[in-house]
Amino acid sequence: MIPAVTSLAAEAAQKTILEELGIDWQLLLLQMVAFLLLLFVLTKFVFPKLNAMLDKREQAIADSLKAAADAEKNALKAQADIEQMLKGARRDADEILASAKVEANAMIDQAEKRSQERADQIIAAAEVELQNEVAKARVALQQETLTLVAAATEKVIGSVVTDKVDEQLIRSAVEGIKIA
Amino acid sequence: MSELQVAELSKALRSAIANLSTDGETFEEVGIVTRVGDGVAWIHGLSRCGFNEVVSIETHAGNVEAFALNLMEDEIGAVLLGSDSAVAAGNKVRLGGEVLSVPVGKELLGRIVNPLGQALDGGPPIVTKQRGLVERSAIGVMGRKHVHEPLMTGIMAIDAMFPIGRGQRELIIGDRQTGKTAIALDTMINQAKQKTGVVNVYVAVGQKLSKVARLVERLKQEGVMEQTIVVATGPSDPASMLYLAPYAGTAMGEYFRDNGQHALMVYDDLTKHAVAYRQMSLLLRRPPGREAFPGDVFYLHSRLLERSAKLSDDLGAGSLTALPIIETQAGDISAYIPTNVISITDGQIFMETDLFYQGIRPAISAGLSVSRVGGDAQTPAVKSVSGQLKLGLSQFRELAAFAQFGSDLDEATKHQIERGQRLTELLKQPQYQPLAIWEQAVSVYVVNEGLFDDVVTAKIKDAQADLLTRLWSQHKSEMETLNKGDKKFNEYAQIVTIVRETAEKVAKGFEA
Amino acid sequence: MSLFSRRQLANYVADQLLAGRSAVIDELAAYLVETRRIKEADTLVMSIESALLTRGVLVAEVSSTRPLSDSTRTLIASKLRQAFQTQKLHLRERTDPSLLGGILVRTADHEMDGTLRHALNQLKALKV
Repeated sequence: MIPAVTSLAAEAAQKTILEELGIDWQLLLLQMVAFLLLLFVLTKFVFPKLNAMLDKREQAIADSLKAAADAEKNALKAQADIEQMLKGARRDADEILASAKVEANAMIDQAEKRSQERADQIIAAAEVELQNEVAKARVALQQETLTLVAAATEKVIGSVVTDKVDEQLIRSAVEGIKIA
Repeated sequence: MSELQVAELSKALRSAIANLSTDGETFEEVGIVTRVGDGVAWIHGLSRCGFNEVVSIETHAGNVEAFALNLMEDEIGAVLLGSDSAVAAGNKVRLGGEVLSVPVGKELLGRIVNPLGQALDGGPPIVTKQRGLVERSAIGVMGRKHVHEPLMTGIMAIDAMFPIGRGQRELIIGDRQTGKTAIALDTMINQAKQKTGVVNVYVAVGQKLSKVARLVERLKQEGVMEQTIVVATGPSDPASMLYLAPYAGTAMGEYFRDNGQHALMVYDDLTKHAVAYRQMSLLLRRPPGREAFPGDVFYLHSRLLERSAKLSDDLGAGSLTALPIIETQAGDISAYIPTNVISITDGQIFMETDLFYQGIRPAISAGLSVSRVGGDAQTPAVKSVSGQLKLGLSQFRELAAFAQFGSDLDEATKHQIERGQRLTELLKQPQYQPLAIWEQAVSVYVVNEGLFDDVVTAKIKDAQADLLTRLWSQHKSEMETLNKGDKKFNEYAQIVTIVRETAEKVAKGFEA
Repeated sequence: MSLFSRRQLANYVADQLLAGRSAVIDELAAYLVETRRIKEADTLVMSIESALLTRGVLVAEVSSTRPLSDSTRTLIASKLRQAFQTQKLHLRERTDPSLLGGILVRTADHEMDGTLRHALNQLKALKV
């Protein structure tokens, strides 16, 4: 008899618990059905879209994060490249400068040498010129002397050459006559 | 002698007077001038006069010489070798006994003379130990050897495509003011720069004396004058001097040829020579032929140019190379004198006015120029790279008309056109800057191999200059080895690598 | 009428003269006038003298400052005959004070100048 009573009491207590909780079990059932219906509708229509959207956002975020990471990597790489190029350019510039210096020095040396050669040439030419002048003067003097001697002789000869002298001249000229 | 020593002078004069004798004794053959005019004296008598014999006319102003060119029944036509103003009818004429000869020898080097060997540069009179005949027959077949040594002109366009050898006759032909004398001048300068030991003889036939003076000035500046002889005649000199000038110059060059040395003759120019000969012939009353030239105008030039030869080893292996210059009118190379001389010479370098005004200097026409000795006379280093050069340029010439259709062409054609443009640009060369063998070989190799394909065409010369400077300053000994040029370019393995590397560096700097 | 060369004329005249026909000179003069070759007269004379020489006759002109003495004349004549190897000789004499001294002998093709004037000219032309 006690278990039956206990169970009845439990039932009664159960009912009382539910009543005391203020839960109307019919309403609860209805609400549960309504809830399940809502859940069903949500699950069928809303949640997929919602999930998709969330996934997309997540993806987008992930992408942008990746892009940012890539960009940072590229930036670093570009920086490295630029530095490399700058280094290379500096090296080239140094080379060019060095060879330009060498060229410039060579040009200066060459210019110096040329001007020295030119100066030597001018001096040598001047000396030759001087010697030529002297030679010319010598020849002129010679010619002049000869002309004077001949002129003087011409003037004098008339009186020097007597008949006898002339006769002698003629005879000596005629003595050895032969044909060339 | 730096002083006028009167005592010595007086002794010389006294001995000269003592040697004078009034004993006539010998009967000399004497002729008499019957007519004189236009540089020709007609002489009666002298029946024993020979052809081309020198005769001496006694005028009131001293003796004037002439040489007998017309020997006729009644009289002799003698062309005066000086001014005819002193000669008068009735003057006595005596035989000289020998044909014309000029002083020849090393004493002439560095001097400017007239065709009779008299000094024109104001220096001491020319005194030589030997005399050479002005008219002389050319060496026979057995005395010659084929042309096998190169004569480097220093001009890339010539040394690569139309190489000249020692003993060859190469004609330089073109209109006026196209750079003909410039080519000859650069060749002469190159002989000094490369220390080849070749003696230059420049014969100016009727050239303006101001031009000759400028040329001599330039030769002195470049240090070439010490191995050059200049035989100068101006336009106002008697035609007989213009006629004799090339022959006299050749006699001077033959001295070196016959003594185992090498000489280069430049005749500037033979057109004026032919005109002077025409003048003389017409005044000697010889019958005129085509264009009023006498019948033997071909012989005039052929006997001159045949004396330029390469001698056999038995005769000393010397050589005489000739660069005659002919001036054409309006580019007509089929006129009388040009065709004559073209058929005598072993090739020609044709200068075009169009190219000159386009800025391509030297204005050498690659299509019409030719060297009939060709590869035999080319240094192997240059020869190995120049085959491609000629081919590239001839292909470019064919396609040149299409160059204006830039973008409508296929790749291969475009490439050929660009390559041709680069080669043309490369072959331009400023005056008085001849290039050595290594410089030429390197430049042509680099452009042919496409190492400068990225360089802007307008900057090719700058790139070339940069390349050559770097190679010379950084790899001098290798370049000196290359300068001997006796192997093909590809056989200098080490040098090829060096050149390629340096060229790539240079090309980067001049990139478009 | 074809033109005869001077040599042809000279040979003809020389032959005629040696044959004794001295009228050929007049004929020659007329010919020269007709063919307008008077200017060639002097050279023609020289040619004739030259032609005569090849036929063994020497014509020589002797110039001196004073007239020759007989002994000198015979000496000259014999020397000339010897030199030119001819027997027949015609001598023309001339005096010319400008010779200053000595003797000048001229034939058609040759000349011997032993005058003082010539010596002085040679002196002036000396290049020591």
